[in-house]
Amino acid sequence: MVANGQAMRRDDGGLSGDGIGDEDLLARISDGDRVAFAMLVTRHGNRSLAIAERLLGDRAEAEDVVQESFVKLWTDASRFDPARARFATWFYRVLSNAALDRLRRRRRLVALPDGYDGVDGEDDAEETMLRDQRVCRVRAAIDALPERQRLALVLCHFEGISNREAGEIMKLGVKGVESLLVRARRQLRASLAGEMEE
Amino acid sequence: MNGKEMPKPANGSENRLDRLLAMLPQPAPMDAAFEARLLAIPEELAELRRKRASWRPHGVFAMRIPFGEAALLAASLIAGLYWGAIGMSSERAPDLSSLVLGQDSGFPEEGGQ
Repeated sequence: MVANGQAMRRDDGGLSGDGIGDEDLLARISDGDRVAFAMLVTRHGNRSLAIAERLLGDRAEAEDVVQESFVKLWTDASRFDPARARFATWFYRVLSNAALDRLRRRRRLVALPDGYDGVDGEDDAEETMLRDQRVCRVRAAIDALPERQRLALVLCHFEGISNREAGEIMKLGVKGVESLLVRARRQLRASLAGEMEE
Repeated sequence: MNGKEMPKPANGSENRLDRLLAMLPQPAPMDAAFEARLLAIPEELAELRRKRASWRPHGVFAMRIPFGEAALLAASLIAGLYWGAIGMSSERAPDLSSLVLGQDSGFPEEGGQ
């Protein structure tokens, strides 16, 4: 499993040890503190991009969505109420909603992910091609999932976010998230049955 | 519940599914250019706000015409249109039927009287 099991891990460049909470940084951002904004970008930029890219399957669109979300973060920071939600929950909800909105606006063609160059050191062209095709089919199977199942899979399986936190992001209970994951995996097993036999 | 708390595989098919999912490449971290784009958001929004605040009409829309002159201009325009319309309607339209071949054009023929 790709998930690393760390709940809402930070992917910063050494800034996570500064002891300042996300919520405190957001409060500073609402006062126009650009340093605080830069710290949140460093903390959450990579994960945001990974979630958006996994949901959209397109790097450029993912970058646009992440940018939109950070614009919202900067402009709406004063509206955030720490009594109602944690920063990460709020921000990843904004991000997920923006990505799902894009997903609804278009049904994209299945293509190899940008920058995918196969496996290093693999000289056998045929084997590489077969692997690429398999990756494409897996990608297509994930793309075919209903959007809520897909979001649950990306958050919990690929990003290792806890079911409870994913539930907060998706405004669902833990049971609801578990149900989405079970259904997602069932559908993936069915659509990738041919791949799983090989 | 974290990744380790996901429902345990009931059989080998869950493991095979996990292996397939693990084949997907990890999204690359943000590059320096994109990070710079994100970090520039506050400055760009501030710049946008400054531009909006300092926007003024340009060109002909920015001209300040005194009321008297504007009224005179409008009156002249209306009068011109009015007299133009009256003049057009009072002119006698040429009789085009006389130009049709085979009919008397109304002009003296060449070599005539």
